[in-house]
Amino acid sequence: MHILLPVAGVSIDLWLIIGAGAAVGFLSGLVGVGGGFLMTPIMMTIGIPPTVAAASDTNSIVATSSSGTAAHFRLGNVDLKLGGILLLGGLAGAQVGVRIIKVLRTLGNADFAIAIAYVVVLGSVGSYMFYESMRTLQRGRMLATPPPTRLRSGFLQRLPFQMSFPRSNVQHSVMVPFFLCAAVGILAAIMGVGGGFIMVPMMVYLLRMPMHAAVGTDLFQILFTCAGLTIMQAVTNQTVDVVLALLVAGGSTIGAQLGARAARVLRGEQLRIVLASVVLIVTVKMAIGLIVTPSTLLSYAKGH
Amino acid sequence: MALRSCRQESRNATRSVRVGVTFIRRMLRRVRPYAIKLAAACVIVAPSVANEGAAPVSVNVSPATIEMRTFYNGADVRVEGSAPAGSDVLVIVRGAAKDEFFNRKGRKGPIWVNADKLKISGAPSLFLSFSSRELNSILDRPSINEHKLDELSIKNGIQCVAESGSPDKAYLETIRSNYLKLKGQEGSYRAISSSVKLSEAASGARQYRLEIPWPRKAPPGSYHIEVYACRNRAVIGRAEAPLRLVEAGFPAWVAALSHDHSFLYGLLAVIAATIAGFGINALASLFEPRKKVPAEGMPIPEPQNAMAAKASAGRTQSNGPDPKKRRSA
Repeated sequence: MHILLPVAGVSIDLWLIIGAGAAVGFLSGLVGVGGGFLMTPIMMTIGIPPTVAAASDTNSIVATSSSGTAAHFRLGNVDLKLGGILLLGGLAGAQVGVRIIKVLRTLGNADFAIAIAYVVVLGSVGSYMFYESMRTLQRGRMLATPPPTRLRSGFLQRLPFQMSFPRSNVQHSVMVPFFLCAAVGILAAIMGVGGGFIMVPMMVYLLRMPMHAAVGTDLFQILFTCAGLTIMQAVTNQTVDVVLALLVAGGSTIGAQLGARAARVLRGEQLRIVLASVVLIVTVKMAIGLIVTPSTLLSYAKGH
Repeated sequence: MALRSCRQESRNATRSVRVGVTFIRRMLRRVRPYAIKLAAACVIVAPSVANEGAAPVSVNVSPATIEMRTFYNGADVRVEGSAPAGSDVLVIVRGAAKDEFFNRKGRKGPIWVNADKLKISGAPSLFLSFSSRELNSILDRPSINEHKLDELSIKNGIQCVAESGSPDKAYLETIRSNYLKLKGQEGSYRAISSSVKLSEAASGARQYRLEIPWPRKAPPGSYHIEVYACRNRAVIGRAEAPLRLVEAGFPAWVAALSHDHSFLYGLLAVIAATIAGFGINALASLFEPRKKVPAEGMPIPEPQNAMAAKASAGRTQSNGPDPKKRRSA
């Protein structure tokens, strides 16, 4: 069965798009990855214009992440207090990031730097997380280690505005999550991604949050970011296709529910291995894309 | 009886249903003018007649307007008419040119990156060519170029503005050939020979007939169907008919809303997505507690059940998800 997407002006196979949404949604519910990364390219392969694909995907993430947030909320995995601070930090970081991109562009070679930064950041985050969680798994059942505390120093403990986050079972100065999140926001804006890929590892390793709380809190933050972006896209580019978004969302919310269930069965380090594998696969795919000669030198721009 | 119960039902209709009905009525009112225009357009299509010399070419396209409704899945377009005796026929489907934006990849050291931004214009958005025989055997190069009948002749009309400055000849050539390659890959530019069927009419004139499986991915807009009658490798007659692709019904309403009230549309899109997300989550939570209780109809055999319970208990103890418990143990 086919359905016409009103704004894209393209008719697509209904089950194909719902199925793609379900697969991406499962990953989203499992490890808190927003799915923008995977879904936009899939939509473009199906034949949806790139500008519409990017904007509608943002809209569908609103649905996925609200479903994921609600599911994790019931399981007690959403830290509203920390999530709010992360949200503010992320917004601030994105503003700075957009300005940094403009400066980089005028200096030239910006795209080169971005492409390299992408592969290096994702590659190292992915391999570290993979290595660490494998070790935790191997060390086994007797010895339960909390996530390693690399950044644990007296300096951070002495910062002002200490606040406890009972939901995540951590205590930090307000400034720590804010500035870490701002840093991720800068990176996200420069690399042009939602940031879930970096945000979750950061919450686990630097803020020492439990994996489950990190995923729930990350989804909460994504929900707000994407709601804002959707309205912005609808007003400036008029490229949001709500029918497309709801179809993808229908698939992905169901997928996300199953993902959140699966996350409950798995242990923290097992979840981290799944996320690490996804990050590594994406990195390898990107690296291949950078090295292999493309079949045509032109690719549709996502915005103008 | 049935009538009475029906009346009863309508009387009992809830307020929300009534609100819904008013909403749909309002929607229909918005869409009605479109529908009327569409109907008019369908009726007015008359075969256009050639303008070149004594050789009459006629073309009839049906349907002349394709309505794209919610479950639109492409359409079959029939192009038929008559051409002078002994001629070959070429049918071109051309979509209006529009600006397109691209990234151009370039090599920097060992890797490929987006090296430039381009705006490309002057190329048809759709170019399908159907002929009764292979194009180069029925027309010579000057005629093909004059009427822009193949990719090669379109190529020189492609304009490009680059962020890196005005492109030189070699760069422009690279961009043009890559553009054609991309369009060929996505199926927007295609040439299919031996697809136009010819037959002789009683009067000696040629009758031609072509079935086009209209591409599902062609966006709404106006397209041109051009028919060329060719003899002795030259064009001896030409006719043209428009083909319109318009959204109708629900898609038309959504598209209009997204253009005319973009902020409201964005807001509604977010609200719809949030409701969908929370709604599905609420549905899922409804089913959740029931799953834990075994269904009454199918009792599980006692020993198996006990074993399963023991096994799962053992697993929670040895490697349960709660780190605190494990630490204390």
